[in-house]
Amino acid sequence: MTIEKEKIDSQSPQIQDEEEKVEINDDEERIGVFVCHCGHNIAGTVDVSSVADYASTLPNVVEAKHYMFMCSKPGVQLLKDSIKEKGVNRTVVASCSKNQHGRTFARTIEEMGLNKHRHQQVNIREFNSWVHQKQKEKATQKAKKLVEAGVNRARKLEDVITKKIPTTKSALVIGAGIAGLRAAYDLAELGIKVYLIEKKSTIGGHMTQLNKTFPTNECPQCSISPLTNGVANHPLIELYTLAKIKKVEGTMGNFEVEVELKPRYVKDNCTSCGECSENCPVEVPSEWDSGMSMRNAIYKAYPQAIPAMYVRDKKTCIECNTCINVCPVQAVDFSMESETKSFNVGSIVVAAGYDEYNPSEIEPYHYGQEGYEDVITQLQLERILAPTSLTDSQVLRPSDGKIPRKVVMIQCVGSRNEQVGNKYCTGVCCKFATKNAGIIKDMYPNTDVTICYIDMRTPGLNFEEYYKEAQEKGIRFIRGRPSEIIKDPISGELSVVVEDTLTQTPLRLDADLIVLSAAMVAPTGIGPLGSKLHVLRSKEGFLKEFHIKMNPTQSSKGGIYLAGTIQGPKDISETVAHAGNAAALAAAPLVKGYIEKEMLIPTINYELCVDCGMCKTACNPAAIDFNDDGRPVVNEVACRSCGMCMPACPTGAIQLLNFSDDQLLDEIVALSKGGVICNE
Amino acid sequence: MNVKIFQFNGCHKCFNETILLQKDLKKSDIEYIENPYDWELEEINVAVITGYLLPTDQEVLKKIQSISDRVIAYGSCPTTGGLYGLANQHGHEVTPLRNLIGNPQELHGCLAEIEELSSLIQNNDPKALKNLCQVCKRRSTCEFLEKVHRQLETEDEETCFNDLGFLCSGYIAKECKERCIDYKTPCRGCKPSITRPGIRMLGMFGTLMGNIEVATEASKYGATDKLADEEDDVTDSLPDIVGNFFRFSLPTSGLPKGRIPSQGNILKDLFIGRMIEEIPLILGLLGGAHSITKTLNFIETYEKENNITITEKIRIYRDELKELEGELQKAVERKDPLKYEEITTKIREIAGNMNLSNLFFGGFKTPIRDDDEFDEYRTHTFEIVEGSYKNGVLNFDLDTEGRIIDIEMKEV
Amino acid sequence: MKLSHYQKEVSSAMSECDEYENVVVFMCNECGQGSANTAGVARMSYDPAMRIVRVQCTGQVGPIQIMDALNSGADAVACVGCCLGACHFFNGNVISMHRIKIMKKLFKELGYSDQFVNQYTSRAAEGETAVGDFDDIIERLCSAIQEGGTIQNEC
Repeated sequence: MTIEKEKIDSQSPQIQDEEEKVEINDDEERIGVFVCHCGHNIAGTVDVSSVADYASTLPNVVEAKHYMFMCSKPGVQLLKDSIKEKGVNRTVVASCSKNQHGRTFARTIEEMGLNKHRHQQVNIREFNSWVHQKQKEKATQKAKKLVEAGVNRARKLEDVITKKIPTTKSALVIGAGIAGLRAAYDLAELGIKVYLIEKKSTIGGHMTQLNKTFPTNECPQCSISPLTNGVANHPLIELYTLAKIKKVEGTMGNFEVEVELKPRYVKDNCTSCGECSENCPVEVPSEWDSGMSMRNAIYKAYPQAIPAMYVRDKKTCIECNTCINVCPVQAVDFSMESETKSFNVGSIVVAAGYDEYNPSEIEPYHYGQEGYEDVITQLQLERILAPTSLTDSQVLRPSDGKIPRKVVMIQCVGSRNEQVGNKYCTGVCCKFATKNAGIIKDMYPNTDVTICYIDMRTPGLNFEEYYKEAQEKGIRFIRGRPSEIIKDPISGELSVVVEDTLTQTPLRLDADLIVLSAAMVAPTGIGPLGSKLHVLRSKEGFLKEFHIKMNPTQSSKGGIYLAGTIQGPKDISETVAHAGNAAALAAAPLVKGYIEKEMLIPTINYELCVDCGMCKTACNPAAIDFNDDGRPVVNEVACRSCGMCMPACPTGAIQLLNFSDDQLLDEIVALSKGGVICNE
Repeated sequence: MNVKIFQFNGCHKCFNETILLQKDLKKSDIEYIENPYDWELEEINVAVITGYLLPTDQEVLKKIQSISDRVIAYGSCPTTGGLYGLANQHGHEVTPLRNLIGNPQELHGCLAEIEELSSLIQNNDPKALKNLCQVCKRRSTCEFLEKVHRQLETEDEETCFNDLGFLCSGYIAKECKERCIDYKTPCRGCKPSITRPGIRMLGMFGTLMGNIEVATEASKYGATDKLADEEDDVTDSLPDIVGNFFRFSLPTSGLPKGRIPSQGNILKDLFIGRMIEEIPLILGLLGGAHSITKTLNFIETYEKENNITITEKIRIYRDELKELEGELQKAVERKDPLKYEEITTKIREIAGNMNLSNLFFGGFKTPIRDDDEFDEYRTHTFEIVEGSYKNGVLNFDLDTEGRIIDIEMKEV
Repeated sequence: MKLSHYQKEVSSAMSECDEYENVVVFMCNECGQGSANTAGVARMSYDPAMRIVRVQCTGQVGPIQIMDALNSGADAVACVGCCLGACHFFNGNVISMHRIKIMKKLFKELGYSDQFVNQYTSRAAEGETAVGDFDDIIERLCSAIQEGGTIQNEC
């Protein structure tokens, strides 16, 4: 026969029965083996008829054929006929890879009423004929072994059922910074009820603290406010501030979450008039302002804060009751108590953000020490520069309120520094330092601005231009990591000790203001949150994505997604994109209404099981846990079928369906037969 | 009923233990044969095989099988290879009974339990045995290990040894009478509950070590990453895999026979490569008639060279043990079950069990009597010091990782 | 350039030793299988002794499978997983490396070469990574055989 003829055959319409399903006889394993020529692709190297002949001699094989194109209609008809006529209840097709046509044949036998997992695909093309084209003899031998292994494997294949698990059409978003807001809004726009929880008293996160955003020097408040307002007013979003995750139970599609809401001590009828704050006698540094201004014990983080309500800080309050008395609407109530709320949600998006690295750990920089008030971080500089700042947007140095004439910025503070345990590059510091240096230079052309860097990293569209622009403005870039900040004991002047590594010149740069470009680090409290969610963390402390390339927003546990900097340092654009993807993935099973899950899961032989919990240790998606009797159980929804529990089990009690030790052994024996068997 | 107990090679511990059979069976029904190559050929109802076996024993074993109704392999040596099986690392051919004759009945354990043997001989239903972990009070934490430990330095009595970074084979062991775990000594699995226990444990412990750094390198072709062959924290943590994972089951583990050159003598071969902190237990297990003297001799030699001082209380207990050993020998010679039982009970009181699990460098691991001041004889964590140790009767050399590289034992 | 470089070296390695028949390679369902498929599609060439077993993740392959393969006649065993840090099941490849590292040491303790078992990574889009791994396996196996014969010969 010729290939041409086959092609015509494969195109000619087949008369098909409406109901093709046949009665399956399962008394014994009846295996059908089909060897594909794939034109000359396989048959040109492998003697396919001898492979089929060999297959026919193998135990349980009741049908062994070879055919030009198994994936063609007449090809799959061979499978169907063998099931109908020979009572075949397991099929082995030796052709291309499982990815290429494995599914074609699996679907075919499914149409005939066999479970699709009874099909075993043997790859004699990519793994054999194509890679051993010059060794025909050996390739044929190998094909026989591969087919034998496939037959051995097919013999014990078990049915795998697919379950439909209904999902709860609501989502939890943890953290209401830019990532959480984006994710919450996107989810809500897809018609999903969203519970957005934020541990602080206001939403918006770090972005609201910034003065300008690179590379356009835009106002971040203006960018974010449509989103903050949108979220606050969205009918499908329930916003909870001062909230903390207490407990998370359940799996993908159906979680039960308990959230603790701390008291605000100000009731919902607050009109945000500010009488309480004005009369409060307590003054403490403002956290939102990075300590660059003061706030009262009853306060609002900033005038535009959402929710537009005041909050009482119980820790600093002296309980003079002034605020209670002055409030025109009697909104202040010291008797409020924390309450617990429970939500049922289908997906969880974690957008817990980042913390700015605290540079006080690096002793030579003296950050936070007395007499070194002029050593600040970039976030503090943002607050000085911001339109609502105490300094009226002027750069005035904290120690004496004078305009600095010499500003030195130090890059990589807490990043790329193995001594503090952070090997990674935060990746945004070069950009924001360039931005802030440029802003200072624009405001005070006579001020010298120097950036001490290890490498300038400004990749991506617009950023090289941004960097060039800064250079043109006259900002001085010195390549070198400063070793220390020195304070002259007499004059009190600060200076930065650095070696310019390009010219190998040791320098001492006098500075009125020193700005540390501190790293982004995993937020405090992420450890306990991670363990409540049963998601894994990377060694840097951030929550680990499922796959670095293919699933950057999926956590190690199904149904829990990562948005923004909780997965690793990012700039705002990246965060927004990341959060949008997390929202899309989180929404998919909820919009669909159900999860379809193949129950390719491990089973535990409780006679052998010794309850040691090693399977639980090895299970990354936390799908195995002890039940009330202290016995491990597999959560079929959370399981990702990786089989890592198998070698971890000291007694071999846990075995992945269709990948058990026994089934793998059958395949291995066929593949390695030929040597002398050592021991038993 | 006619029961013949055969001692083949190695220590007489299990053979001696069968003296206790006289408690359940008629004394006249039992015959003890210390030399299986020299005994009167007659019909046997039950033949009990103790001691380790070599292929050269096959002929006489077949003869025993041919005239016996039943053959029972008693103890680790004839069932899984036992301690002497470790010598297979050096090319010896210690083999279990089942590889030499058909399907014998098997009773695992080093020491195997006499109650089980008695009940098997009398065809009583065997006692259902739980897994050791089910009777252990320690529980796992389900966390990957950051570090593997060689000595138990913590007072923690609730966490599983494995989760403390201290290999314990209890997972694959059945509950037993000796219970080393009660004496801060992790189980080495002499009574396996599954086949291929060593390989399974290796998979389990390897997984548990998941947080310990493993060395990788770029492969030569294709430039992908591959597992490096250099030493790393993983290999450094396990100086003796054969001795710790396959202590009682090397000949039946499915591993190929070892190719390390033999030092000439099986006893020497089984000690070479073992870790210093494991030696007291190994010596305690196979010293046979002189296990106590040999174990204490070893411990004391090490203590003396490294200036580890012991208290008066330790001295008293150790002397007591040595004295008991002499008396035990007499009871064995007289085949006196009551005396044997009395003395072994006393030994167990001090040494923990017949494997001497409670003995260690610098003292004892757990309190001996409730009213005692434990601090007077508690275990000292000891430094591993390489070098040559000699006391005339027992000489040994340690390498930098604390492994035995040469050992010479003269009969006491 | 790289390709011809290692093809030359392999042919020299192969001519040095031919005492092997089967090498069982456990390849994970993701990058492992992916790279071998890519190698096939690109018609690259490697030793026909390679026998690929599809597993979900190299983290699924335990000492049991490795010993099963060696005991039933495989001359060498290797696992090929995703790149470090890119395991589709978080850290299966690294956990597998731990176990294989211990297996390697075990073989050394028994007086054998530690090159009968190895673990590699590969990249699905780059067939040469799989072929490179296979070539490396053969070269190491040959060095092990030259050092003291195959495992089976001894028993």
